[in-house]
Amino acid sequence: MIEFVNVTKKYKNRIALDSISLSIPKGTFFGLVGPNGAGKTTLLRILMTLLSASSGNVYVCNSSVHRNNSHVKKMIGYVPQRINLDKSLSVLETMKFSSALYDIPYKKSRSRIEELLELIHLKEHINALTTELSGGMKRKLMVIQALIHQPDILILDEPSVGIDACDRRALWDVLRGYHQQGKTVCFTTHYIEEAQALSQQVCLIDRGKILENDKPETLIGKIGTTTVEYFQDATEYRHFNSRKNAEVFANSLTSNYTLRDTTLEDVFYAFTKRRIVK
Amino acid sequence: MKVHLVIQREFNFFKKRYIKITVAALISPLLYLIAFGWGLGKSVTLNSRPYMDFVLPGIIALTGMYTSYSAIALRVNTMRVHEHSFEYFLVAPIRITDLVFGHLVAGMFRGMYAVILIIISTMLFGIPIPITPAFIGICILNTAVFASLGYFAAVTIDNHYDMNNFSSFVITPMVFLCSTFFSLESLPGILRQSISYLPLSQVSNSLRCIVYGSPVSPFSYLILTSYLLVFIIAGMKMSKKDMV
Ligand SMILES: Nc1ncnc2c1ncn2[C@@H]1O[C@H](COP(=O)(O)OP(=O)(O)OP(=O)(O)O)[C@@H](O)[C@H]1O
Ligand SMILES: [Mg+2]
Repeated sequence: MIEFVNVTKKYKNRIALDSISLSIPKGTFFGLVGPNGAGKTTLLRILMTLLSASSGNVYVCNSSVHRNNSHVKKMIGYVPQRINLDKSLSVLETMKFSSALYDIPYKKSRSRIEELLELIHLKEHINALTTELSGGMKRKLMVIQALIHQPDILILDEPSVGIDACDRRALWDVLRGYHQQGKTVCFTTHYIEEAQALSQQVCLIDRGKILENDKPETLIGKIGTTTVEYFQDATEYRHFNSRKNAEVFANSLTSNYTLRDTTLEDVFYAFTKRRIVK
Repeated sequence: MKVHLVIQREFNFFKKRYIKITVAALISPLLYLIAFGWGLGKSVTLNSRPYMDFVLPGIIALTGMYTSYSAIALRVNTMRVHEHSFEYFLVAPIRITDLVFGHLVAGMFRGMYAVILIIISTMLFGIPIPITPAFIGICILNTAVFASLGYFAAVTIDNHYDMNNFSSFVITPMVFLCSTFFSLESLPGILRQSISYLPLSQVSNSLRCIVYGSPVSPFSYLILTSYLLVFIIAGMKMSKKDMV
């Protein structure tokens, strides 16, 4: 459904993306994780045509993306990393404007707008200007703005930053429900537990290169399903594929330790650290 | 076609701040009118006509230019660089031509609004202006040229500081030099020639012709239309560049 082919992005002499090839099949819940500056936002912005690739191509449903390709744009809902609301519009005006841009007459979208506002607890702020919302509220508004036209593909760049724990769970529910309708959801996050809770496929990128791209459980299997965490000058992690070996190792330690299941966070740490050491 | 959505959104913006916009649109032209028209104009004649007849078309021209340019330049640059709300347009299914023409029409509206205000105020002070179809045509063309220049500058320049510089280096000199307050006759040859081809010179001279009762040169329409086309095409081209 989404296909990046050898996408490279150079800023002057810094390479932000280094020949990325990636395909995201229809109906996948796809998590893109990586440290700050890895190139996640750049990749998504190229998909959204906000940036042009220095070389390589991006296809959505076999159609090449570009600024005037309205057909592709209609299929996508996008929540950018930074706030992009019009400061002169109210919440309701923002939603009305979005529905008009996506060719939904207000009569038809009206109930949907109310439903979406209810969902994220913004209904009482319906007439507030977007500047009068808190940071988290703004982000939630951007999420429902992207949902207004019920796109086949939902792209979210760190959607849960600044959203409180309750609403984050609510957001997860929205995304899960959306995915269950057969839609493709692709998001980036720094909350690895979020990536683990949601994604069917996780792509780990660092310094513009894909390190790993697989199911979360496969990635965990790659470093070992059990982790021993202990402190020796600094916190150390050892991963084992059998719980028995982990216990044997843990018992040999003189310091305190924790023995637990490996998480995606361990995978993230292991792979990015390995790369730094290299 | 979604031009109307862009225009609607800009109209909404206008509606919410029309008092500020109205006052801002009136202040500098009225000051020019007071200083150069009533202040200087009473005692000065130019080509044996009152200076007021000379300066008024210039002030109307620069009002249309300045308002349509700055309305769009400021708004689009702010949306693009500061609010990032311009990105929402770019990811939505709307064509670049709709974006360009939507903002162009919005800028023309803002420019004409200011022009009409200033014409009404001079009429209130008892200065008659011959509002002919040619007069209206030139005024509209003037706002179109500078709204499209404003759009082009706003999508090309990536920060507010340089936007300000562009205005200081391009717009402000035009305000004073382009046959607005003094006749280009007094300038040396090459300088006069080159300034006379600038769009604002064409507008002030054409409006002055109308006020003096002589016909507008078709050449002026041609020059202004060419500027308009160039700015529109350049604006479309630059709308495709990377966002900051
Ligand atoms: N406009 C720009 N000019 C120059 N370099 C840039 C620009 N934008 C991004 N970069 C560089 O490109 C690289 C990737 O940035 P990007 O924003 O895609 O990272 P990210 O993975 O989204 O990071 P984060 O998790 O912090 O959001 C970084 O090294 C960054 O410094
Ligand atoms: Mg990012």
